[in-house]
Amino acid sequence: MKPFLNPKAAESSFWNQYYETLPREKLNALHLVRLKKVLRHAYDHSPFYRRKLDEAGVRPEDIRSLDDFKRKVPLTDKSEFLPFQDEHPHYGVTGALPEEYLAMHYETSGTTGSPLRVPFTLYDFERFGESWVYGFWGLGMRPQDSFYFAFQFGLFVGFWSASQGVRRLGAKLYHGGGQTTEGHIRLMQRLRPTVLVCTPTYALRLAETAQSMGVEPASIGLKYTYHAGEPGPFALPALKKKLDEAWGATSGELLGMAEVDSMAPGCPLREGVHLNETNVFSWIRDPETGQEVGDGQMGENIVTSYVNNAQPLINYRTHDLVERHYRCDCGRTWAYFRGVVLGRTDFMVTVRGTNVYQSAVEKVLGSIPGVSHHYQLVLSTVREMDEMAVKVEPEPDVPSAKYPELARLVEEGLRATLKVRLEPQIVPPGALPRYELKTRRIIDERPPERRRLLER
Amino acid sequence: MSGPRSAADFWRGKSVLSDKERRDALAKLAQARKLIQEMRQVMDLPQIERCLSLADMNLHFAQWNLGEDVGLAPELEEE
Repeated sequence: MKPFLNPKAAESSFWNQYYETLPREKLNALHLVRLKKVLRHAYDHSPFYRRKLDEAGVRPEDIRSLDDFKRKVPLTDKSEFLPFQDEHPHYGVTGALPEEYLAMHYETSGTTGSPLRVPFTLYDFERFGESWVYGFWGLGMRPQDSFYFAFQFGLFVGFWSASQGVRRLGAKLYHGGGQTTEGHIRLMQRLRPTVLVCTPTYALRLAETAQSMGVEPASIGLKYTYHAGEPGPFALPALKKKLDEAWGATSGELLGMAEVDSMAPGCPLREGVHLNETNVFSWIRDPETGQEVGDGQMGENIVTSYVNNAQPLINYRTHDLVERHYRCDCGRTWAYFRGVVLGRTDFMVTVRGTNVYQSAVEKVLGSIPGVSHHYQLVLSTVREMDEMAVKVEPEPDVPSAKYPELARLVEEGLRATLKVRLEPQIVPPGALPRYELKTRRIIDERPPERRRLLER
Repeated sequence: MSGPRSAADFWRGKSVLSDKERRDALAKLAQARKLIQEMRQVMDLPQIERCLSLADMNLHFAQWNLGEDVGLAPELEEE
């Protein structure tokens, strides 16, 4: 029988050593060539981009350097896409390829309002999934490994792309599907996977549940746990220690963005992530001045994707604050984000893998009769999971007998819009603190080690 | 084509893939794609045509990941 990989390839400590270690000058030269192609494609095929670039007075042929690209091509933001998609569903103005080329449709969680619809061609989705493999391989996973996915699948792309990544790696995959937490433990005991993939907080919950069932988590035999969807082990050192100890395994992390790519697989040195520069070009922008910041400085990650050809994303604002470095002791030359995402340019927290924006909560509360504009979001940690309580003051004329009903309306409204269950707490009028200047809406009671750097 | 190397080697600009090896690989990939494209043009069995299309996609993927100047995707390349 032929070997699965030829012996030389099997020995490599990189998934693609050629590209992952390409000198910066060569990477930048390739980026310029490819960015021009993205611009040309978007200008020729997407009415949204043609109008946007025309309004900015920029034509694809005007871009002759990376500086031109960063300075002349306008930024894009998710909020620009949403009204067009509502008017011309699904991607009538923002799309750039005919329907027959589209193979996948995913959506963002919709926590800022309407979900963003994201189409992929089959090829682009293959490349989206490939991003995971750089991280899997770098940490030591190989085709002989077997992956257990402890989550349900839906219109959220994250773990579909991870599944695609496992396929590209050539490893075996167990989809745990819609099990209870206890059900996952029983399945893992029987199947004996070597890799667990889920959100980091759910991995801790699984370990805790295993122990409550009398099952020592390490006895399952995992070698690795791999995480996305929330700040993970490379962002939070205390979480890394906890995960590693809980499972007796090595934890890993990938930074992805549903509408862009699984764009930054984990560094094998486990303190940050590397941007997959085969799929994405990125530069870091000072949110205050709009200027590019230098190596090692912090700013907003602005990305252009080579793998969103069905709906191009060009100079796209991620709102993630990162600290970019161009050198890493692991040998990769791909942009390195130490500590992964250090904060957000907007107010957003992640609860059980779902991004919750303060503005979205405020919008829901504002639509419920009897709810005043005094509210607070209180983040805490309960059984290793991040939880959020929504404290709400009713209008003064609402009788206290109606509070339970009001709580139910708030809970239902939040769940319908945000797709995550948050705990409403109705407090008497006047109970929440008043502020003279900026109102403090988010109270983070999680231990500092569970928060991103800038939120501590 | 590869094997474990130290980080210091990378900073000296070395790669496991020599320029010649890379050029040779790219030349073979281009030949393979040309052959597949010729077959696709005359193939009247949709199943086989689709197999060829997926093979072409993966070869484009290899070209892209070796830094070749190719289109964003096979369907976006000029005839």
